[in-house]
Amino acid sequence: MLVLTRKLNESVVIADNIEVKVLEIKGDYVRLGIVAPKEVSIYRQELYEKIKEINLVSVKKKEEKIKNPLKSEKGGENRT
Amino acid sequence: MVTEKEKYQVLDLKPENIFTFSEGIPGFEQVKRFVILTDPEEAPFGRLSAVDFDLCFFIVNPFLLCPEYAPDIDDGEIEKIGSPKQDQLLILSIVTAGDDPRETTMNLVAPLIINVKDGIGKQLIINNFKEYSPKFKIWDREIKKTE
Repeated sequence: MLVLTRKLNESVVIADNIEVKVLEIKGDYVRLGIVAPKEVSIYRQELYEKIKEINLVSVKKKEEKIKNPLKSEKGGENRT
Repeated sequence: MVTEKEKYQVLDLKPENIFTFSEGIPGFEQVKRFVILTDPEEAPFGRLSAVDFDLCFFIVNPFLLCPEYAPDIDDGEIEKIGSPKQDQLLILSIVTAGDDPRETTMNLVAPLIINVKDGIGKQLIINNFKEYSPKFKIWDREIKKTE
């Protein structure tokens, strides 16, 4: 990890087209402004990890099935 | 042997039926091509099925089981999928299904947004992510009604 120290209103530039600027420092919080091409996705790290974890748990093989609990309660189709 | 094509309502694997997710989805960044399949026996669920890998995700229309769902999505995100008009934009949730069907959840924090006209999609985290759960229990209300 590259570690840099920035003051309020200072920036880092990544590659030649991404800029991260310190906009506000307030107690425990740092407000960052990010300029990047629209093709570049930007996420809060912990949210990205959470979504990734849920996707990994949700993935199925194509032969797997899904059950509708209401259908079986109504005595609907019985599938073997 | 019944092929996937025969089991599901899909009319050939024509290029226009394929949705391109240029970044894949988190955890599956290499999976960039999907088709959407529906089987009436699995309603209300559909499948986001990978073209190049043996994997799929169950998906559902989030507004069906959570009518008050109001995802706040940046215009910039809509631009990333080619600025579809309202009637060309599909919002779907990935479903997490385990052993107990009553515990099935859907991800309201990170829906899929799909431009059906140009065949482009992505998964994004909505701006108002704090208002919703990534594991919204879809059957709770329906089950309460029957009890």
